[in-house]
Amino acid sequence: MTPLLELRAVSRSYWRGLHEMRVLDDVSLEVHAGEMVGVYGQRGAGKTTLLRIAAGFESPDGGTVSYAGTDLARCSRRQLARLHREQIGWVERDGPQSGDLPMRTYVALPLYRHHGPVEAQRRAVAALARVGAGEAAELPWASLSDTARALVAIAHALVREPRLLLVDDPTAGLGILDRERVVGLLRSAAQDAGLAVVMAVPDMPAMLQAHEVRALSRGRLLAPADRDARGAVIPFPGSQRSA
Amino acid sequence: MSGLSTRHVVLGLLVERPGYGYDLQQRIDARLGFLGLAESAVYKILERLEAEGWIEETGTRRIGATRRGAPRVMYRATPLGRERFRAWIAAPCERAVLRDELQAKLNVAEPDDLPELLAGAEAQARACLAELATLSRPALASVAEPEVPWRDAATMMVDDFRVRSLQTLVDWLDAICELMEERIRRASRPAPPVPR
Repeated sequence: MTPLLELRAVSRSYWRGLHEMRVLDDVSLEVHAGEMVGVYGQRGAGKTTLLRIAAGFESPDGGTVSYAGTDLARCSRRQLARLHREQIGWVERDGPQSGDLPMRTYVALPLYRHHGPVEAQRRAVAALARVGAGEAAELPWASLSDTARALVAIAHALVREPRLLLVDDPTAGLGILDRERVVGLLRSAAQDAGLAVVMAVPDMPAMLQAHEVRALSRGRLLAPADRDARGAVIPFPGSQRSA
Repeated sequence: MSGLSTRHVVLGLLVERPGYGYDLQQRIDARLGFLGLAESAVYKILERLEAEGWIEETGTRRIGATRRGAPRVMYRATPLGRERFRAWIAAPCERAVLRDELQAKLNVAEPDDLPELLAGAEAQARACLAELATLSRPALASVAEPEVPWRDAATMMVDDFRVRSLQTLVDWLDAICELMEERIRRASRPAPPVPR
């Protein structure tokens, strides 16, 4: 099966004066529909760059990014814009530019063009209710808690019914119960609605719900060691369960 | 694991419910496999606990069920044993010292070993991810649900500690790799001319 998202040998550098900062180095990743991949990395590890390149917001210096088998480098700006509008969802916690917009309008905005304001708002309210942020519908961004903002951001991305969801640090500033709730929502978007989800987090406990885990380390994307190679880590109390 | 009191662990299992040697060893294996406690060791602990008056025979012996056909001696905690168990639960915990082989290697390695240390550190980070994958399962939030059996909730919390330890380890590996790489880079190129 063709992966929905495929990064092959992707590299990306930034220049700071004469110094080349290699942010991504030979990064390869496949993500299939119905699957949530967690990418762990500390702040500054290149998670956001990885997601932006996966979304086609930035081009890699080397390697290819394919969406549903199509090389993003071969897409016209128009085709890319269409993908971003219809297929690739981006979850960000910046909120709307306009401060006093109620959240049902903010979430509805991506739908205005195709569905008109009434239908768009109806869908937006439903999307907010689905993520458990129904009470935020009439409120402006400024009055929302961190948890409500995380949920609204997910609703904002999901309302377009994308096939791929890219999520940058969705649990920043959340307590443990809210973190579980937000990550659980993303997992069910993958598992129940069949989306491909890539979630980047600086927090390993948040990765537990991912179907697959990776770690960004010095620009490289590490995969878990093979089962045979395990044992380098000493088992801890309770972590050994009888087969 | 010098600080961990295995006899209190065995005592705790008998506070939970009465049991016999083999059964206790099985329960320890399932929950605290890292102790690596052999059945023979369990019998020794049982003798000691009985001598202290913390546990006693229940009087019911299950006949013919052991491998040698000997009757199984069932033990239960005495009121004194329960008291001692609760005191142990309430007592301050000793913190486990993480003994990491890489730390030992760093302490004795020579400068020429840097590339191997780097490769070793990366392999260990990948092993941490593999370990994390074995723990993968949604549900930590269910620890807060009173309907979830306490035993399951306890396992999830111990797993959560494991995950956080893995994160610490991965972050440390990442940091030392960056430093060692930079050291290699600087060693291999001449110092820039000092600006006048």
